[in-house]
Amino acid sequence: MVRTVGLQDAGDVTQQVFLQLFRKIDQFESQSKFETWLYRLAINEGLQHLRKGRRWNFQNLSHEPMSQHNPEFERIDHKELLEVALSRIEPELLSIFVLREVQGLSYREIAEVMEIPEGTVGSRLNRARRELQQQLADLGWEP
Amino acid sequence: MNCSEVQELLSAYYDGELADDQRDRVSAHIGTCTKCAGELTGFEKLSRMASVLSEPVPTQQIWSQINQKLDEQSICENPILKPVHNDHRLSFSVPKLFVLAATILTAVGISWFTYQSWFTHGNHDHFTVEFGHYLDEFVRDPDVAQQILLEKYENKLIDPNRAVEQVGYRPSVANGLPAEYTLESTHVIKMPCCTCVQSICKRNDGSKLAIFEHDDKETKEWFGDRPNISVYCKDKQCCLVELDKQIAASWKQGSRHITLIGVQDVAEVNEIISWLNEKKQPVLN
Repeated sequence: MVRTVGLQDAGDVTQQVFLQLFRKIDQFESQSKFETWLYRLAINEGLQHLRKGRRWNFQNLSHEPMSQHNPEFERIDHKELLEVALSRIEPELLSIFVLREVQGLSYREIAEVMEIPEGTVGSRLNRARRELQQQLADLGWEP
Repeated sequence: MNCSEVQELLSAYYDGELADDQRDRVSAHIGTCTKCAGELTGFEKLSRMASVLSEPVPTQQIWSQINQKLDEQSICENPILKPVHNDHRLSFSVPKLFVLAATILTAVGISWFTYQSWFTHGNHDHFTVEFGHYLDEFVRDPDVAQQILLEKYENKLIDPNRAVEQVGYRPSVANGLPAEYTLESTHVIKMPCCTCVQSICKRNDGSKLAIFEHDDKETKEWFGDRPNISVYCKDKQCCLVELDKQIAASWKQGSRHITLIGVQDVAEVNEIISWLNEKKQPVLN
C-alpha cells in the first residue's frame, strides 16, 4: 500500500516535470544532451517536491525482519529492503545513487545533472553507498 | 596509499572513473587490505541489489492528465498543485521520499515522447511575453509599467461609476476601496485576452496595487511559466503567482474574475477578498 501511495506521488511529480518541460523547452541549449537536461529537470522537481514536506515519511516494511534465523527473513524481497533503505537517506544522495546505479550515468554526466563539480560525485557516492549499507544493516540485511 | 586515501577514492575506483595510475595504486592497496577489499565487496552487493530496481512504466492516466493540462494551456485554470486551506501560508500535501527515485525513473524513461510532443504543443504566446514585461516593470516602477500597458493596448480613462457604459457591469472599485487605499486611476483596457477594468490603487505608504476586473474569461497566458500555487484565501480558490518580491493573485468573484498585481503578501489578498465579500461601501477617496 505504501508503495502504491509513493508511486501515485511519483505520477503527480512526473506530470509536473513534463509540464515544466513544455514550458521551459526554449531554455534548453544544445550545449548539453537533451537527456541530461531532462534528468536535471526531473531531479529538481523531485527534490523540490520533497523539500516542501514538513518531514520525511519513512516507508514501512510489509514484513519485519527479526533475525537472519527467522525463515520469514529469507522471503523478504531484497527490492523492498532497498526501497526502504533508499527512503531513509538524504534525497541528494538518493538521486546520485539512482543516477549511477540504475541509470548508469558517468560521473561527468551526473555532475552536469546535479550541477556539482565532477570531483564531488565520487565522494557523494561514497556517502550514499555507506549510508545505504548502514540502513540495510539496520533492517537486518547482511551483505 | 593508506586506507583513508583509498576509502575516499573507492566509489570512483569501483565505477571505473579513476585515471590509470590512481587505479593501479588503489588496486595495489586493496590487494593487501581486507578492510578496504571488504568495503568494495559491499559496493558490489549493493549494485546487485540495485539491479532489481526496475523502471516504472508510466500509466495511461499520467499521459491523459498531462495532455489535459497542456490543452488547458493555463495552470491557473486547473491547478496542478492540490489546493490547501490556509489563510496565511502556502503549503502542500506531505510527500513521500520514495517518489524521487520513481520520478526520475519514470520521467527519464519517456524522454523521447516528451521531445516529440513539444513540437505539437508550441506554447509561447506573444501576449504572455508582453504582459510579462508589464509584470516585471510593475515590481520596479508601477508608473512606468502602467505607461507600457497603456501604450500597448487600446484604453480609455473612465469614472468607475460610469464603467457600466463601457463594459456592461459595475466594477468592484465603484463601491470604493478598503480604507488603506486610494484610487489613483481607472481604465478600460482592451487586451488580447479580454477587456478589463483596471484600477491603480495607492497604499498609505505610497506603494501601488493594480486591480484588474474582467468577465468570465480566466487569466489565460497572463503569467506564462511563472511559479504559482493554488490556495484558498478566505472562501476563494486563488491562483497566486510569484513575482519578484511581490505576488499576483487571481480568483473568481461572482461572475467575473479579479486579478491583483503587486500584492505584498497573502494577508493582503485575504483582506481584499474579505472586503469584497462584505460589500463594504466606504467613501471613495
